[in-house]
Amino acid sequence: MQDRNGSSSKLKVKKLLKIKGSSSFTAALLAIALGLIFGFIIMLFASPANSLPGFFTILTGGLQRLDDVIYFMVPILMTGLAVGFAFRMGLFNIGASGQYTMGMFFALYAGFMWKPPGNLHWLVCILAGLAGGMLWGLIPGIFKALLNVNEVITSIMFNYIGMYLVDMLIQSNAKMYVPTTTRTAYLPVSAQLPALGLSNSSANISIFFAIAIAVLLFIVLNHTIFGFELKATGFNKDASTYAGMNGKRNIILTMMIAGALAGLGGAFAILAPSTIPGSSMTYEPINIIAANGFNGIAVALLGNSHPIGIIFSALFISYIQRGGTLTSLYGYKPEIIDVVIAVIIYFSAFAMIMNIALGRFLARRKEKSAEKQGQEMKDAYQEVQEIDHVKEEV
Amino acid sequence: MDNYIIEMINITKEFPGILANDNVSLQLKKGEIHALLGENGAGKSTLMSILFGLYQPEKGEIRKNGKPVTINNPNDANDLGIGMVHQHFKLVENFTVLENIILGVEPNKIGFLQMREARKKVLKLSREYGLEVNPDALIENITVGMQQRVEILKMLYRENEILIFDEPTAVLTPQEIEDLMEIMRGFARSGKSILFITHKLNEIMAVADHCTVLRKGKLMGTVEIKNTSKEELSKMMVGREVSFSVQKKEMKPGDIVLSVRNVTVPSKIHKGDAVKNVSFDVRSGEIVCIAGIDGNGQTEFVSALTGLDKISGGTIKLCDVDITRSNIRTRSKAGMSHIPEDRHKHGLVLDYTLEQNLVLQQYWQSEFHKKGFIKRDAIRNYANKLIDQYDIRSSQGPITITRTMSGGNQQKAIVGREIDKEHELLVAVQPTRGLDIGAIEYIHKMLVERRDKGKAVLLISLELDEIMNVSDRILVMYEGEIVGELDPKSTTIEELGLYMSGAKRNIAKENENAG
Repeated sequence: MQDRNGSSSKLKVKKLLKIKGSSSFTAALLAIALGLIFGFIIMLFASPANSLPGFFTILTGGLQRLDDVIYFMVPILMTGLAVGFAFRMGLFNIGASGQYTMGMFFALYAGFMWKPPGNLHWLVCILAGLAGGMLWGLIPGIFKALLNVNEVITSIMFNYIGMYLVDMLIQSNAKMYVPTTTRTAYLPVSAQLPALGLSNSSANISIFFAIAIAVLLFIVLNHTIFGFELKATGFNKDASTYAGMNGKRNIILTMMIAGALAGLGGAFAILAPSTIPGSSMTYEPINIIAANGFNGIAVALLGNSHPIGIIFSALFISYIQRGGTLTSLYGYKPEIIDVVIAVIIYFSAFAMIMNIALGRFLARRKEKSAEKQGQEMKDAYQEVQEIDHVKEEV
Repeated sequence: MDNYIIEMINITKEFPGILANDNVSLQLKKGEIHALLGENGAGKSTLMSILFGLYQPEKGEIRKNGKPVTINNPNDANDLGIGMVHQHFKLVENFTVLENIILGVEPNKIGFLQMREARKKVLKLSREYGLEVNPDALIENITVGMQQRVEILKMLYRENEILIFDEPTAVLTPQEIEDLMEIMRGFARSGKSILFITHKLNEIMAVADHCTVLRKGKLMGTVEIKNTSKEELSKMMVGREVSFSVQKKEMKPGDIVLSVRNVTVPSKIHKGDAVKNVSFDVRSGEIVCIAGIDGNGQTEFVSALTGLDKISGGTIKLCDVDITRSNIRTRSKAGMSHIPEDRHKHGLVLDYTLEQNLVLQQYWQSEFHKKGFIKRDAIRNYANKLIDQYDIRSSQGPITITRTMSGGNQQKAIVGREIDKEHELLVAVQPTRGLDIGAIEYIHKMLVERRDKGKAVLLISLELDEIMNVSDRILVMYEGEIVGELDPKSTTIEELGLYMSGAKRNIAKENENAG
């Protein structure tokens, strides 16, 4: 190749574009920016006068509710991991909702019906939630591995089966269900997750568990034999078979892990203390599929199915959702934030292409400011070529 | 003045860091077949892409019938009567042959398709040039050879008179190659001009009038085929003498390594069996080649042998261990290495780095992990060793994404991986498909070296030269059966062809069960 004695800024851009992680990172940022702009335009149409303060609320509203941001982040972080982890294996786990609901139910059941000795009742409840989600991931996994039934179809059906089953079981359980409020009763304090110490807040220690699990998954994916096989299968199923990897076992294992992650999400969400001292979060069995499961798909997409990326995308989406609910102060429907998030997800699907466009733009600008025209042209051209290459890979 | 229909004068095309075409000229006469010869990366495809309007040259001029023209995109090329059959076909899989041919130039009256008119024209063209096709067949159901005919008919339908063929024989069987050559001669007779990109010398000698040779982007010259030889052309192309015959010592066959008895494999396409009652042995220190025209059960047999698919009858023993029902990993541990037919589908995880692909068969060995955690340093060292030893070239060494590497180097990586792994039997399926002469020579040398080291080699090949030169023993497969066992030293290509086409057999059906 040729020598690269260009200016340092050029090298920096070049390096930035070359590192795969950072390119998906800049792409996510770009998607977020475009999503916000689009959201602002919608707000402008909906109510021009309130659009600026309303938009400002979306951006900063989360700051006033940091504890809520943390509480709502945990379930979508877990379902995001559940979707993203399976996706690395080439499986589309659309059943995170069902797994989440089952996890939640198992955790509730352990909370109401069991009285283990000692101070670790809540830990038992978490483990019960993990088991519930794992069960709901295992079944589609077995269907996929042994009978080659598409996991998308089974896991969608299991969303419904899980949801109706749980609603039915809860409504028929006098200890768990309070007919007058049509919600579940408050959990005993021993089953509730320890709070973070903020007063009147739902934020609890599950955030540490969730982040630790994300880091653990990162290690599994990048430093273990299992992760090596899992990613190989996700990239090229035929080659992994050829190399003697046990595809069936890995499919079942992956779906079990994904289910367990979503199940933990359900447990973390329901075992939290509520803002009124002594009371806890409750569940209303009204035949609605848990939205947090589908939000997990969005979180995983924005985080590029990377466990660490998913931590940040969950944080961001939770933050902006909190801000979004506050826009009602300016007469906006809280759904506006769902539109903004949808647009962000939409753009993050184009993220790679936009990244290329950004690269071209930078290359062109450098070209203009070039002193040594010939050499510069060459470099810029090379960059475009490299970007083209990235495009081809995509 | 000569009647050149297309002239490319002093074309220079530069890609970053590489001069793809350096002052290259090419002149095509009306009614001739002009070959463009060069190794992979010599600049053949770039030159043709310039003619087809996909790239713009930095310097140089293109003339048609002596008048300068500019070709900015493939539509311009089409308007000038230039058509191209790409190496990878551009067809709509679930459309019919007829629909694909008229795609983009559909005859219509106020928006209504005039299919009858189109059909008449296509059938007339197909009769005129001997391009038999079924206009109503779906592309996904016809053979690769047939698909190529559809591509050719597309050019004819558009009334192109300059036809570019980009490596058209890479995907064809020997018979189909023969047919294609005849079709090309027919085009030339009817006044069409043909540019034929290839690196196969036999085909050039058989069909071309002139040959332009490129090496590393530079023009090595244009020669008349009448006045040249295969040896001379290859020297121009590679820059050194190339040995066409593989240097081999006498073979010293030892113990039986692979023993195949009455193996039957069901077909995935039809109800019958793809492989019928096949039995043979491979000994250590010999190269046994399964020859045959593509689609006679070789692929199914290899899938069954290597464990990718199940067999319905018979036994397979490797080093006296019955592996008939073993999984792939067990076979690998028992001493089987496998260079797969499709390196992109089976051989490599293209989105993995080179080093990850180099341990794809061994990552689970204790050498490369500690209690399930990958030892990155160990993998890096091992990868660097293989990269040095097998001369695998890439832009960033062990951390190169495999997708960005050239086909030849991808294949070297697979060969290196499979050879360096502990093995007694090497199954090599079309190991040189799509590679240039240098890489082919190298891979043949590797196969012979395995044999000389006392390993058993089972080669599955469609290339007649490869079959004759490399193997010690030839088994011919026809319609799922082994119909002949031949000694390459005492047989001719013609005779081999008779066995391959099913016209002759020296192993009777009854005898098979006895073995």
